[in-house]
Amino acid sequence: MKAVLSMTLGVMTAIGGFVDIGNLVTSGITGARFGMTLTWAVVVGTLGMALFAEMAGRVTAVTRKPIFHVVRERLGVRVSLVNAAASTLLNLVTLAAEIGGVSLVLQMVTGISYLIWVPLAGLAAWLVIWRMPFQWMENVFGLLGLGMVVFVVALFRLPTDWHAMWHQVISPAVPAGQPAPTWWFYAVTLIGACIVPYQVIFFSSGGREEGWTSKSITEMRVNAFIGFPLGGLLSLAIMAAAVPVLQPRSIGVSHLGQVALPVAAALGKAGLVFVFVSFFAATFAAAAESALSSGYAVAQYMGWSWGKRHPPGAAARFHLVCLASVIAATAFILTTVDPVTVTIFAVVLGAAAVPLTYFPILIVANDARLMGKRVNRRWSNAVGTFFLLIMVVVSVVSVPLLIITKAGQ
Amino acid sequence: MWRKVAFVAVLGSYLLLAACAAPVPDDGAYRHAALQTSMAMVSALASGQLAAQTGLRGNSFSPFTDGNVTDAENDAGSVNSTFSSRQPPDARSDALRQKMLQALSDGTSALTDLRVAVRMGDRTQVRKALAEVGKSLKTFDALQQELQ
Repeated sequence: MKAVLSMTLGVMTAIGGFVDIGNLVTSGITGARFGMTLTWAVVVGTLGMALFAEMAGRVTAVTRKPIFHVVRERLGVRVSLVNAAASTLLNLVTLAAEIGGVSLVLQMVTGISYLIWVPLAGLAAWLVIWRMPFQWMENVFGLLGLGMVVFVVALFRLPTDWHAMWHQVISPAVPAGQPAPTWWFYAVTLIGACIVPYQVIFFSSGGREEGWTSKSITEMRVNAFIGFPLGGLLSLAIMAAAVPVLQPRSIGVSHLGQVALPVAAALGKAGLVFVFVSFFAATFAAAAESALSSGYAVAQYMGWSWGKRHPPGAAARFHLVCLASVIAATAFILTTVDPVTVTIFAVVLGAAAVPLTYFPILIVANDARLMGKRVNRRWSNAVGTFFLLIMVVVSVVSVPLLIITKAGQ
Repeated sequence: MWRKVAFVAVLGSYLLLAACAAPVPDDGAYRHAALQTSMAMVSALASGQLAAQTGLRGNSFSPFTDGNVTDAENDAGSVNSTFSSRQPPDARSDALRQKMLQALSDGTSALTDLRVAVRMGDRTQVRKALAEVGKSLKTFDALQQELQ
């Protein structure tokens, strides 16, 4: 019974924790502009994320080392430096976007400019990293993030044309009047929002924080293969809620508040409360996770003591990297750069760099000496290679599309 | 040798500068810009309208309504100033420019009135401003039909 409860909690946390500012923004924009024609991109991104998170989790559970540590041991210091540097840089941009997201949510609630909230959001993220136990942090914010189910409820209260929506899902095409490069650009952003590198780093390092062993593999697989796809469904619900409300009015989403408008229209103030709480939890958890992931990536590459299971004094350099990341990201958002624009750039750059993070995972999960009987099966190699090829294509086209479409205009 | 290098460098710089110079806009490009501007303005107006209507029905909190209407007003102001600074290529485009500037100014003013009314919590003024926003939306719809 205890195991079932623990597994259920893990799945619920994974669902709530899957969505972050990248998913909120890209789902809102695409639903309002392209309807459900880009559902396939969320499906591809979510399945890719689940597959590689499972591989990273399995490597961690078997070797009892986090993925970055194993990659450095297996591929050498030089190759893994590229991986570590790219991930750290991306974590920083993502962290800035998440801190901006937290501040925008607080602006929505209070009406006070988000710039006032930015330093406080950074400080709060740091305090949570410093003081809150790992499991508490994961569970509390993950469960609060589940409040986004309100978008599913809203869909049933709105004049949703289910037939038309389903048609868009199963026969995706560039909608009339929309430029094809922009449609493809947003497909890339949706995939990028689902497969952000920090989530894999956090998933595998979190496994070590929680002391995963080979016995934890079933629980880890349930989290990856059930929790993440259900989290992807929340992204689709946000996209779908925009279709009957924003699309007919030709409203293009460029602010976080517009993403919440369909829920306000359908469910009123009660619905908005759920939106505020869940948006805050999703962005705040992601801020803490991406800051921790910066610390994980650097400390594991350098071979320093790391993790929240150690008191700060025993993993001083790890905590210092987390603090420096929070300060740098907070300072960046304080330059008054638009957090929504930062989010778009973060997911596109994430998409561009994702093979650097995911390819080493595939290699390590295939190492029979390291993994023993838990080495990748043929089917998982086939599917993993297929997704990696998709990611390489996404990586190659992402920056040119960013330039051609002027960031999706 | 150095002469050749200098020649290539000067030629390269010239070509680079030529590539950086903005193309001379023609009437078609100007009309396309006007269409894009109309679409962006419709988005801002409709967003402010939806937020204010939701607030008027008691379905949202004041800071949330205010925030959305203010964002819509800022977007409209930005769209307005971007189009205003665009150089019309000929007399025909200038006529379109005058028409667009009037519509953009009316739309931005309607959203400013809406924001003021929302912040004051004056429901009568909100309804009045919403009527102006609706009128402005119709103007841009007509402009879009004309430009397409």
